[in-house]
Amino acid sequence: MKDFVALDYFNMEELYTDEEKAVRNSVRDFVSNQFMPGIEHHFEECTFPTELIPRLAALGVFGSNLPEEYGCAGINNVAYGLVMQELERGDSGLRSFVSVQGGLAMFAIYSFGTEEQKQEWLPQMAEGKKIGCFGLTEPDYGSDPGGMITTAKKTDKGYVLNGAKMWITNGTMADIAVVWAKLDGRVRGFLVEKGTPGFSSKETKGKFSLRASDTSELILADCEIPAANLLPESDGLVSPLACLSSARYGIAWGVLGAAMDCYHRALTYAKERKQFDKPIAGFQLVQRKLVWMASEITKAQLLAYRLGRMKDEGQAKFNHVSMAKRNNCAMALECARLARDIMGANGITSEYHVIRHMLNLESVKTYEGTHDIHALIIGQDLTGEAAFR
Amino acid sequence: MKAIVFVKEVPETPEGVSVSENGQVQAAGGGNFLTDPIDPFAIETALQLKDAKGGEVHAVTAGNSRAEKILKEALAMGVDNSYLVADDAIEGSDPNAIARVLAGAAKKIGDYDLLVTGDRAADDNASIVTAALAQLLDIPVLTFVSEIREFDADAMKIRVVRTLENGRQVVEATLPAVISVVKGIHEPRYPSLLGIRKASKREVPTWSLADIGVDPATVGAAGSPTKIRSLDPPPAPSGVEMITGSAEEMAATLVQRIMDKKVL
Ligand SMILES: Cc1cc2nc3c(=O)[nH]c(=O)nc-3n(C[C@H](O)[C@H](O)[C@H](O)COP(=O)(O)OP(=O)(O)OC[C@H]3O[C@@H](n4cnc5c(N)ncnc54)[C@H](O)[C@@H]3O)c2cc1C
Repeated sequence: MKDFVALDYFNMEELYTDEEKAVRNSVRDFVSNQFMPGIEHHFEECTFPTELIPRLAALGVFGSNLPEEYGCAGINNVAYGLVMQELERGDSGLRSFVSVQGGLAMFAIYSFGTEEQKQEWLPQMAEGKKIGCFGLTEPDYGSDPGGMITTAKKTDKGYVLNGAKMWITNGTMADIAVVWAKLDGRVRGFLVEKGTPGFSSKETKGKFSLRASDTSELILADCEIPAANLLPESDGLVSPLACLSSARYGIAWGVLGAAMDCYHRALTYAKERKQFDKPIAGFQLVQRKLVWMASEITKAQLLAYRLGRMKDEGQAKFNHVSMAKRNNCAMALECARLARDIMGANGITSEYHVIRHMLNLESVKTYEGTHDIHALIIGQDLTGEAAFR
Repeated sequence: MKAIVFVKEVPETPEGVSVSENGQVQAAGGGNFLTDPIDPFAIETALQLKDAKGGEVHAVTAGNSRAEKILKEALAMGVDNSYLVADDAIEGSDPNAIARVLAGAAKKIGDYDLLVTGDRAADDNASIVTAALAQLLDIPVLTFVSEIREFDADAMKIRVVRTLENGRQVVEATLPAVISVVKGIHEPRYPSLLGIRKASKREVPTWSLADIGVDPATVGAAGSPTKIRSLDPPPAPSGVEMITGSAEEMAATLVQRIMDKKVL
């Protein structure tokens, strides 16, 4: 396969600063050289390439839009988005790892933690020495996390947590779990360290999607944690939702990478593959698929870009993030399916990569708020009517 | 330890290179420019010496203000300072004249132990600047370095492995010296996101020829006796032979080809 060529039909390149482009290029090279050679193996074996964690940390991708005083890179949100794009061009599992570490776990500590908690955890997490996860979803509460059953009870020494969390990315690898639980009926965030008695995890088996990513169940059985492990500024469901908004922003960019990779591979293939004595790229029906992909990717790029600039100016609201996440995930999944189709039988093999993206994107469309839940969020914003119940 | 790395911007594609009216390699029209792919290896070599021995690493290029971008990349990789020599009089310089400019910059920075370049530039493939620098500064030159075995700034000694077409050579020289490195000497580090952000805020000092004490008459078209008459893209890679037959036959043929080519 030819080296990755990024689709840039509307000359987005002109809109990015030199710094943003340099950030993107560094991550792009890293993913091409360090990550791509091993991805087929890891996807097949259902493993995350843990050996890359120190190198990802040296590159500075963990919590890269958080401030330098906590050991982070402090890049702006457009550059951060481009980082996500490049990571997910490799694999949604790689981007998920980085999103959960930075956009969810580090962001939760940064937003709702004490200064001591930030000083203790953020630099170590930026260095990849401590891995974080984010436990919100439960077996019986997915789209409706407010119904969560997990509880926290105040004790003399701290808090006792009871409950279970499902579908938790990095759950088994994590050194530190940000767990959301109800304390006196109100959702609060707690830091649960690996090895705390009563805290265990179990990897979810049989996944066809995000195979190169650790997805686990967290079990909290009379798990007692020190009082200092409450994230004191967290208060109510809005707190985890703020974290989700930060991670969803990254997803809106990330899926662009997967879509651009699928487009690049499908285009290259269509120009080389001959049927009926000519390259299949020369057939109208194939062109129409490529044109759809190129048009939708371009629109999604513009949406993500504008959202990024709005976020840096403090104008982006959660409903804007919902629209970008919803649109871009659905667009990327459709691109992956079309690319798979253009590649015929070859398209179903790991060697051609697009089916891996396709399978991954099924999860990405669902997690951090499903496609339809985001429709309800935007719908409520447009009409003033909540349609969740 | 004080090292100076010389970097260069080159057109992104081979089509971007042509010969100028006065017979020098030039960039043809509007295309993109990148850091010469060999340069990160040169930078990495200097940075690893710094990591091991302490000291400082500087990067220099001669050209126009556009080249500031590649100096920022060097800063993002971790060099301490970058300098741009930009002067209209440099336009149309041959590699000897460029070496004169770079030697001037090296003197201006001063007190160096080691000067590092790539083994050849991607655009002209000339491998002249390294040797010319050594000549102008009257210091030893070690080209095609694939490993630094020993580096002792106090004892003013360097020992390296040179990778040549017909084998490897271990050579020693006194410091200061100029070396050119080959790809693969080290794996270049990726510019970190923090490094990039900090680099983008740095000012890159720009020097004129007067600033570095180089006479404009000795560079540019006037100071460049060599002229390139024509430039052809490298020949396409020679033909691929598809070996056919049963597995045993294919293996036997492959072994034979390897023996024929004296690879083993
Ligand atoms: C690989 C993977 C990794 C994940 N990582 C994490 C993680 O790290 N942390 C974490 O907390 N969670 C994580 N999740 C969980 C994820 O956020 C949830 O799966 C998601 O919120 C949806 O919840 P659910 O699966 O329970 O689906 P449900 O909520 O049961 O939804 C099922 C279907 O019903 C629809 N639906 C539900 N409610 C409505 C409604 N009101 N109106 C219309 N349609 C509705 C949904 O759109 C969906 O189509 C992960 C999930 C996956 C697959």
